[in-house]
Amino acid sequence: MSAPVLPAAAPAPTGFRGLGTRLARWNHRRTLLIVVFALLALLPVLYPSPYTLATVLFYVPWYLAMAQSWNISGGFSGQLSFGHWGLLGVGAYTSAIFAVTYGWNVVSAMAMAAVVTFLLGLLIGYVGSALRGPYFAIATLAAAALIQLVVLNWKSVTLGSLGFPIFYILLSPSDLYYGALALGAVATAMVYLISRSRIGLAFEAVRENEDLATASGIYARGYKALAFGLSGAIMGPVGGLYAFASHYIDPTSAFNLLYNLQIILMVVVGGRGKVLGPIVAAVVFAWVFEVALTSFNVYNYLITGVVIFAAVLLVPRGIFGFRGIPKVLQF
Amino acid sequence: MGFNPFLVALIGGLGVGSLYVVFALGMNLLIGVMRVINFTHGYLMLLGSYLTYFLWEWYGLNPLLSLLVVMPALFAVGVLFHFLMVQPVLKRPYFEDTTLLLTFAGLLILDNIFVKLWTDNQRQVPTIYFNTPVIFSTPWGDAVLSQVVLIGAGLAAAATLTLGLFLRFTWTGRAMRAASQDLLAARLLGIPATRLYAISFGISGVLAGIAGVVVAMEFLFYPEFGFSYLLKAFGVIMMGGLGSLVGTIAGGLTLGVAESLTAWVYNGAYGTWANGAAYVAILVALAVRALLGKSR
Repeated sequence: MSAPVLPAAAPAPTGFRGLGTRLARWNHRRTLLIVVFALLALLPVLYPSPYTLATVLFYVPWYLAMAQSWNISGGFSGQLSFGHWGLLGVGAYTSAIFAVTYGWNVVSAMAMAAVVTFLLGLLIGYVGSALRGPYFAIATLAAAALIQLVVLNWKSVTLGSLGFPIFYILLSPSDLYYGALALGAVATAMVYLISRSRIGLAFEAVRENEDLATASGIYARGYKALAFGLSGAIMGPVGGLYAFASHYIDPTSAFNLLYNLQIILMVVVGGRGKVLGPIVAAVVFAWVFEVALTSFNVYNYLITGVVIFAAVLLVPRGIFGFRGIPKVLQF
Repeated sequence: MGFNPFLVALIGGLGVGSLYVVFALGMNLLIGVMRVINFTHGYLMLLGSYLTYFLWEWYGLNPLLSLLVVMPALFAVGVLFHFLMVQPVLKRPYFEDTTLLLTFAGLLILDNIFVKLWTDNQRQVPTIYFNTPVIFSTPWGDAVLSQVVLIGAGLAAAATLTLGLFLRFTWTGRAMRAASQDLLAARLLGIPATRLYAISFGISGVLAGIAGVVVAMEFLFYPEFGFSYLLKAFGVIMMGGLGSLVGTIAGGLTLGVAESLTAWVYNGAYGTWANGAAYVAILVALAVRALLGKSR
């Protein structure tokens, strides 16, 4: 008597199935994104002065890249991070140390910063994934504060509170601007691809109901760590650009919690887990913070706080989250 | 026999730790009862400190007597904060995240207002207690601390004990514990959630106010002080357990001693590495939770 023949198992679906066909189909949303970035690339024409370009306009794509970075972890996988200022500072110091102390060129130093912050983000994301919601926020805040303390006291490498000078690396204003814009475009592309892929669906499932997602076979802790790592990989080079733009960093200027709060504001106003909203909010608020308010910067905290307050109460789903807004803007 | 520096650091740490206990208790009460992490708590405490300071400067009021003004005032401010930051979003999805964002926005606003109103200057209410040393003699050597630390520790102990008795024996206290165990069941039994939440926020404010009076006597305070205390309170709460009274007491005293001993090991360089004790406490407690697989 022979054993019963079992039917052959169906092939397991692969993780990325469907992304290729979806990428092949063009749509208006992608056209819109390209138009937005083309407009941002033309922005320096309006401000021909290289001084304004380096000191003011540079911060528009710079904030944009940071906001989209926060959006990956804070918007999609729902990890309310108050630790991105730590990643920013690590990126700034890593780039500066590799470019100045080891004499690497600027791009490879920033790539190194991306690697370091990616690994650091994975670590923080994985350890922190045991905590949910507000407790994750506290843990990231503490992690960033501890990193700042280490940078402050590790004098042989970071020069401690004296600060780290980067005088001999001179990037032209347009290099800085287009570098930041390229980072913003990469971050936006990551957010867009995540929003269209199974990874994004997994992130959102974890955000909406972690227990249910785990029960459905999604490895929640891994996805949370991945979201934070990807987010961190953007913050590294962004921090590097900050270091090269300011020519001098110290543990207080490179580690600034206010940046973290401002990018949270941008994503909350633009809509958490959206692609277009945070871009618009980042451009508007970067302009507000860096151009309109330079003479009022003693009130930066007050204005940031009031806008976060108003946004959370009045526009919980972002500026494009209302009924009646064209569907093409709501993504 | 001469002074034993280890004992001095230990007793000083217990003194500071008792202040951490009463400060963190207010935050942990809100976490336990309504799952709200109140980032403005440090600035509520500073409000108490500034009130004490100005009552002393304008009317020459003894800081201990100013408790009679600070406690009701901070209760009122706490209730006001509840209706500003928690009540409007009570029924929202992601309630915890939303209140976190709102209280953080509140922190930014308060910090800016404090700096504008009262500048970055360091202030302190000078008292006779501050300059009176108290010497303990033990078989291992003498320990000394300022009388003001002893008074602060006494206030903290009294406040903690009162809170414990309140939660144990009064109707409101029992309603709070009921709400922290199961809100739905508590409401079904007729507990008015809104009023209970407002009262909890008020009591949390009172605890912050008591801590503020102690801070005004013991330390030089300035607006950023509120933020550094916030991080310490997180360390205490993470170590002691969310919503746990006994855990908060143990966590606060542990953190105080840990900071004090760190400063002693690093030769009195307080503030460089000692502040790190709180961050390490948070992260170690977090790592332990991760290893045990607890999600909260």
